[in-house]
Amino acid sequence: MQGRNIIIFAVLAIALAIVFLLQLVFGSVNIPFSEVLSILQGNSNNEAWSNIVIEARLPGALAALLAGAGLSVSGLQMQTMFRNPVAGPYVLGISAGASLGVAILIMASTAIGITNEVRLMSSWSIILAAALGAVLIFLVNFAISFRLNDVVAILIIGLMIGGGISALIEILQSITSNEALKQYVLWTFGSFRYTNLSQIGYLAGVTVVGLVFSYALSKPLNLLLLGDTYATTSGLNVQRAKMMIVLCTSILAGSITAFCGPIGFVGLAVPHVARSLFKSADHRILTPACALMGAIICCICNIVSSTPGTDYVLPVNAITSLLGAPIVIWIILKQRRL
Amino acid sequence: MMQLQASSLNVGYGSKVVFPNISFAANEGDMIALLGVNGIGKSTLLRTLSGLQKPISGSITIAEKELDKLSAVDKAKLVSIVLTERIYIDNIRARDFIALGRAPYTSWLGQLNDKDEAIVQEVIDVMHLQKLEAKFFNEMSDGERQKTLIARALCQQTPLIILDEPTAFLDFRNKRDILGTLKNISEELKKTIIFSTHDIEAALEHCNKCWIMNEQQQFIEVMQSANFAAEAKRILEP
Repeated sequence: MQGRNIIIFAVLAIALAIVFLLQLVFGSVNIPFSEVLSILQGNSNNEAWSNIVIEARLPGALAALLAGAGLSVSGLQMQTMFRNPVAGPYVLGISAGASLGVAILIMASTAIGITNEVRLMSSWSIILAAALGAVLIFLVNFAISFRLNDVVAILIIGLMIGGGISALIEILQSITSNEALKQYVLWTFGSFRYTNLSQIGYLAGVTVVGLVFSYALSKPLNLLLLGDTYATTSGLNVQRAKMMIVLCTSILAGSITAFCGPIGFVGLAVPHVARSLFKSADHRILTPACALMGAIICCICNIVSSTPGTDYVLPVNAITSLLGAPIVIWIILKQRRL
Repeated sequence: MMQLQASSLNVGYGSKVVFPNISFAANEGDMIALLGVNGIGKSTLLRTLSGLQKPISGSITIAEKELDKLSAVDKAKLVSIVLTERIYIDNIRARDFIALGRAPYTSWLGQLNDKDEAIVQEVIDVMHLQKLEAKFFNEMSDGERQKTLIARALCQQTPLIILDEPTAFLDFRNKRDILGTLKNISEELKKTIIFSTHDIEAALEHCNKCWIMNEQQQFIEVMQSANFAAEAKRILEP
């Protein structure tokens, strides 16, 4: 690896450490940096602050880090596999499927009179419904995309399935109570704070496995840059490689969406920034690069969404979209070959 | 040495024969132009020879190995290809692109060892691409890109290299340049090169034989001779 890349990696790692800790500093109450450090080391006497940092902020901070890394790597794999610069986890209908699962759970359960006494946002039922929805829609898209070899057709079918799902959700919304509707809408805002400390272990486990799996797929991904025909004549079993990539990307994006709600644009935008910064197309470099940069961006979005010093919490999905949309426009202007 | 042999080959898709009864043999150092009108089955034959699709019947042997019976990786050590289709990859430099040709030989992560690096360097030297190796693939001219694609195929170190219309998008000077490069490769590196083309004059100047797929569904080999072009055209357009 070139010296330049090592320096960029080092700078990114330091930046990640800083923004990660800043997530623990900022919030409705801003806690001094030195105090945060001593809380983390277990030598703080301030119990209130200690509780805020460990119980309230640490799970969200970890979720932001994991979600950013996982979604960005998942987007990178999608873009390479579909050879499409605007592909992202949404191509496989992962957000749409998760949304459908959650919509059915929240709205149907209130419609038939089940009252949820648990706080729904952090409950396992939401996570399972989202994961189930994501996997179901992913399997449908996967079955179709395996029959078609046409990238544009797959993208259009993905959009159409997404459209159909939105329609289903709208119908559900129209026949449901205001309370359930509000819960669903809050879920679609996306947040890194849905998870508690006991759940974060599961998210961390799945994400780390997914990231290691992703790195191991570097060689097939590099060959797929050339297209299926070159990849096949380079000795790659293209069908099997694509199946593994789809599996990997859906594990990452599916579980993250299940835990954090839909987080838009991160998976789409970060890979482009990584490619430009590292001036590389090699997945052995881009996979760790996307993981680091995605983690940094989501940590920053988490800080922004907490609007330090106030009691407001802004939707993370809105912030990532505000940040991501200009990047996508920049990609299109730069490439002008969509 | 006989590098490539095919006997009673029927090529096509499923059970539909596109072109029947093809037999030929090629030696190392042969540079062969494949001629025929659009839609006659040139691409189908080239795909079959590349191991991308199975022949409907008949057999192909390359370096005394039967192509059908090999694994994907072993096929990749016998045949490499250069396609007409445009490739868009952002942020990849020529050297890294060329090095992808080592894929059949590298480990699961695709790491190049010293031997791989030496082979990549050798190919860059043979193709005179020293000035190009740090250039980004997407910033290259059509001619430069074609040379980079050929260099990638050479890195695969296969006895047979197949090119689908390698001169299609090139201007006159670049056409000559690419065909001359291919001729040097076939002669000096003892490769068998097969390329489809519609530029009959330019191709016949450089190749030592041509294969013609004519509209009577005959597969005819014509050797280099004094009236090579005239003979080829007579068979092609009776």
